[in-house]
Amino acid sequence: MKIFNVFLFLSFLFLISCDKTENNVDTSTLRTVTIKDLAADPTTGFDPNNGMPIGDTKRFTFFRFSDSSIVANTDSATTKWDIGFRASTIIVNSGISGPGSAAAYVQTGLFSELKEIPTDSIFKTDVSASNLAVGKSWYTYNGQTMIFSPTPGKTLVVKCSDGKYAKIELLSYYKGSPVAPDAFKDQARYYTFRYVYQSNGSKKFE
Amino acid sequence: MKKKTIAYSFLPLILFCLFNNLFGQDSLRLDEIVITATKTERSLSKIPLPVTSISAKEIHALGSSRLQDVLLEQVGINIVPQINGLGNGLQLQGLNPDYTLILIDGEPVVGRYTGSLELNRITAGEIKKIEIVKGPSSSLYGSDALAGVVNIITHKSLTNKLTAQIKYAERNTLDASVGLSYNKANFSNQIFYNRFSTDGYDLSKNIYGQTVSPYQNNTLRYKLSYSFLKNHEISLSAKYFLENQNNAYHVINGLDSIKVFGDGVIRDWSVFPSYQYKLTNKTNIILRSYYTEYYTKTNLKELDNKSDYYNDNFKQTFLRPEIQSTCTFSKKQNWTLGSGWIRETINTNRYGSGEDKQQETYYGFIQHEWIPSSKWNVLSGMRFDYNSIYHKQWSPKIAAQYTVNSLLSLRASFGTGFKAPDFRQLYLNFNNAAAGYSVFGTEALKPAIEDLLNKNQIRELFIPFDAMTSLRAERSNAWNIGASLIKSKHAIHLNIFRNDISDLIETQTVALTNQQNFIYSYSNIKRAFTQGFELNYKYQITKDLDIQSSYQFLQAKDKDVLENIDKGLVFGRDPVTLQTYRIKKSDYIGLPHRSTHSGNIKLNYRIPYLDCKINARLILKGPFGLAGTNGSVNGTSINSSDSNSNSIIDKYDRLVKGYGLLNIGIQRDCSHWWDIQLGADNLLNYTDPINQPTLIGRTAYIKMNFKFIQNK
Repeated sequence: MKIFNVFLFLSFLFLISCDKTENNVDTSTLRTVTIKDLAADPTTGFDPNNGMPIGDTKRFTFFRFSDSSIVANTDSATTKWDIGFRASTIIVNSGISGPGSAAAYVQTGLFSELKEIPTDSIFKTDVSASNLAVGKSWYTYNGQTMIFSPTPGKTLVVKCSDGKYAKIELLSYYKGSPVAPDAFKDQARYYTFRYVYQSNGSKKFE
Repeated sequence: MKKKTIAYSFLPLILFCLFNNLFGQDSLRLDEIVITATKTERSLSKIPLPVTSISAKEIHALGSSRLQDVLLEQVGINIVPQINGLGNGLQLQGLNPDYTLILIDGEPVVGRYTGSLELNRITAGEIKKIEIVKGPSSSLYGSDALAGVVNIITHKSLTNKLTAQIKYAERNTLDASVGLSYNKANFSNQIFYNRFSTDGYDLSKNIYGQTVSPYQNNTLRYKLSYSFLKNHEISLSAKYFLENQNNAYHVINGLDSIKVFGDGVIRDWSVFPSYQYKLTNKTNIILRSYYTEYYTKTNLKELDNKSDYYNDNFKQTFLRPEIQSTCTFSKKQNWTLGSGWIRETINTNRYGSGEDKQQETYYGFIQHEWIPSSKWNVLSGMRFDYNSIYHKQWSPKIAAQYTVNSLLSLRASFGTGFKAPDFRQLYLNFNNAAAGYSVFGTEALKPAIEDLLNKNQIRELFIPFDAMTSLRAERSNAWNIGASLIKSKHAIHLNIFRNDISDLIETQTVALTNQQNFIYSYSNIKRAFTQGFELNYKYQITKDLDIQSSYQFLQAKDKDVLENIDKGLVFGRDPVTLQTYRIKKSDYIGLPHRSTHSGNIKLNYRIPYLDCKINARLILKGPFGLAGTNGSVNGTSINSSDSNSNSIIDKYDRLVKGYGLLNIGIQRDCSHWWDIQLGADNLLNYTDPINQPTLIGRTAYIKMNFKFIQNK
């Protein structure tokens, strides 16, 4: 068990050391990809008068799992993207968010334990601004320190626009994934996450 | 070399003392009369409940000037900083400060700030003794006596006496008291005055303001009793307290970073008349009425532009007339009956509208003491409270003691406790526009939400409008099982406790507005337990030397968290590797601000022929965790212990390190009418400005005590 953990850890270290632009052709259909510091409409600061963020564009950053690529914002009305990030809001390409048929839900459990999407799981689409497929359960907000932390043990299960499945674990909301983020020093709205995309269309991640 | 010689020259003296005193008297069996546990005077060894009594002599030896300094040294009592670091609260059996009732001469002290009572308000100079009843005592005292009761009994002397004490400590801290007892014929008069002033202290020099700002206070108490006819006695106790504060501190709250300053005033007075009539030798009736008022005025201005930052006039009143009767039917049976009425009011800018908020309680209690044989002692009781907010509450209790033989006695008790929702939880109406949130008490919530709904300002309701109901009282069921073993020079006391608490009131997110502001309120949502044991061992080594050590083992956990761990739903994330793992039951440490292990060691030594007493006390606290929302202390935010993002305290988190405080004092009895004390508290100068802002650094002091007794 210990050896297995060490192995996991080493493979993890290997993965996070990969640059996201790297385009390794893997022989297996499954690999864990880690995306570091995906900018999700970061701010340049706060308005000293009302504390509201300034410098943000109010635009989502769109992402496609199949080739780990960021999709241009001008393609927002296409099915080229699967998932979008802006501040702490995560959308999928469906319903009010886009023309696609993407869907998602949040599964409680370890990322590594999700080996097959249960048959009884219910995928949701983006119905309204307050009823999004992903919702808020992925993060925990501390009102005092004003820090968002991805809630451990929450795995996002996504049905992509191409009909294939992916599982995602959000790891950090701050640039450089600081060990103890400081709301006033560290830059928020930078997502670090890892995911597995199953290109063969099955619901299995093994 | 020279040091060694001195040490050796002392050795024969020490040995002599040891042998000389092997036949010393058995001072461990001295029995005391206590009143708090049964509301009647009973000897401590005959009470089937865990009761501790701290005598005036012990308090004198500590050289303490405020109540907090005395309580800090008792095992099983943890002094915890309040939210925002303003003052301290008292934690008993692992329960928060809100759950311990603090009484002076049997009557409650009011004026709590976010649930805890500032223990530095109470002077140690007028304390004759402190009785601490651990475990719920709601069967006699009603609300708030969930963890226990601390009763401060003030001096009353039947001889004519003049006492005076003066203490000077570092940081320009001056504490002076004078007390006068004058008795003539059937009259007894007691006057006490104390003046305390301090420059406060600063643990974070680089931040504007001090950790504790300077303050000065005055306490004046007058007690009168008059016996007339044969069996009648009337008495009166009146207290006046005034404190002035000179505040200056740095507020960092979210995006706010404001330096504020201003004066503060605390004014607190009470009047307590009572009448006692002994109908027969076996029956008495006591009528008493207690009224107290607590008033604070806060006027803070911003340093930069001198504009008002925060103004509040807070006034709380408490009125309680009560009748109590004790009937002794035989040597074996004893009944105590009582009933009363309480009216409490609060007025503060924080509760909106500026009008008095009021609640009333009617109550009655009954207690039965039964001594079926010389070995058994059974105590049972019940209290009924009817309140205008939380309605009815029954609080039963049963306790028994079994004396096995002259050395060993066993006791067990079961009781329930409750705490009524406080005014803040009912009426708070607080809006922090800068940080973007509002908090409403449950009675203020519905109108506020309705108003926002009508204005179409609510984006999302997290709980249905109809589910926003009144609060219930918080409740506990508790077991205490104990044993006492006293054999010649050794005394061991053990108490095992378990408190199951339900309907705990917690803040709850109610709604989100269109401006993205969260609205919070309170709800009876949490369940928790505390359990552990307390072990106390005293060894009278010689007549002049004794050692006492105490240890508390404590577990305090959230039951819902445990349930979720059981279901495998609690995880943690390593902040460095970002790996996620599942939390096991054994990983979960429990509620914040509680050390699993704590204890103390006290040594008292009287140097014969020199009239000198030396004491050394080591107070030990094991590591503990801090909650996520601990606020900021003088501008430095307190980090949560939680480092793996799961909002609970577990073994992966950064716990606050354990620590020890060493206090040392020397007292010399210069003559029968005065003594002098020299000492230092926190000799090792342990401080932790961020996590433990209420720990002052090393404080050396000098104290003189005078006592003139009129010979009759």
